[in-house]
Amino acid sequence: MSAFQTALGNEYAAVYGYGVLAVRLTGAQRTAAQNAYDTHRARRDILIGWIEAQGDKPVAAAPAYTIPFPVNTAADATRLATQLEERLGASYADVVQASDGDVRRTGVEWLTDAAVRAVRWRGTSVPFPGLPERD
Amino acid sequence: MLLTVTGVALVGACAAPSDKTSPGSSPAKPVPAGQPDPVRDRALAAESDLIARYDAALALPSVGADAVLSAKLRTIRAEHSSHAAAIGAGYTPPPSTPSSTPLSSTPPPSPPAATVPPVDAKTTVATLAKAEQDAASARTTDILSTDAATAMLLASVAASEAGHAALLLGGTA
Repeated sequence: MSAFQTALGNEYAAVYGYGVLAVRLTGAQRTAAQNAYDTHRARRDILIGWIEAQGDKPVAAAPAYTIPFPVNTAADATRLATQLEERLGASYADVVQASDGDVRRTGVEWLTDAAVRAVRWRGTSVPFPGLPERD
Repeated sequence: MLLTVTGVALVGACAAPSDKTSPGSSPAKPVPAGQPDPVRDRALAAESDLIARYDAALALPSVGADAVLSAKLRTIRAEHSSHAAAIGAGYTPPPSTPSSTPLSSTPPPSPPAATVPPVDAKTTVATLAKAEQDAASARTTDILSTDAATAMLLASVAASEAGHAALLLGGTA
């Protein structure tokens, strides 16, 4: 599977996941989750466009995605959001590696976005976002 | 509610992409061992500068008096050491540059914080956050010009630095 297709699959999962987790949050965190949901929907659509421009067929969204643990509390919600952003970060690190020019630039921006969101959900930093084998 | 249907992307996704459908392979080739690599030199200089900034900040009485802040800054400093180690792995800086001080020939991107030490912790943290953000932004040109593997590493480092800035400044996702 290409880097774009993997990223698209993770964006689908992120849109789904934020939909599940946002309802467990309140105030600024709720707003942040809703903003992330909107951002990931937009990126999903951009990725679909890129994949189609390559002459490939974008992977389809699943009707639902596995949530790895029950999301009943705000702590569950931020933990899930962290995982979603970490997976997206890994996807975009792969996009950076597999591309050049403007696409690579976008990959850097989206990897950075994912890393920053993960820091805010997690409350701590990591040395190598997107490269879990190094962390 | 636990929804478990088709576990496509959330669990265990992120397989390594094949090159077959990659959107254009980078023409840049890795710099051969033993050859100078200005991209790595610049990245190492930036890490060295950031580490110096954290050392200077940690030496301030206002920071030392705040145990939580000190611990946070030490953690971030350690992550920069990890960056430097990863960037420098397998790389021998040019002979003109002593390996013990591989950064001396490259001017830092901005004056070290140590030259004008801010005294209060709040200003120090804001200055560190700006330095992190500047370092992240400054990597972009090199990331676009270098080979695929180096680009991925430097992109991760830049993302980490943007994350440090977010951590220092606080706020919500």
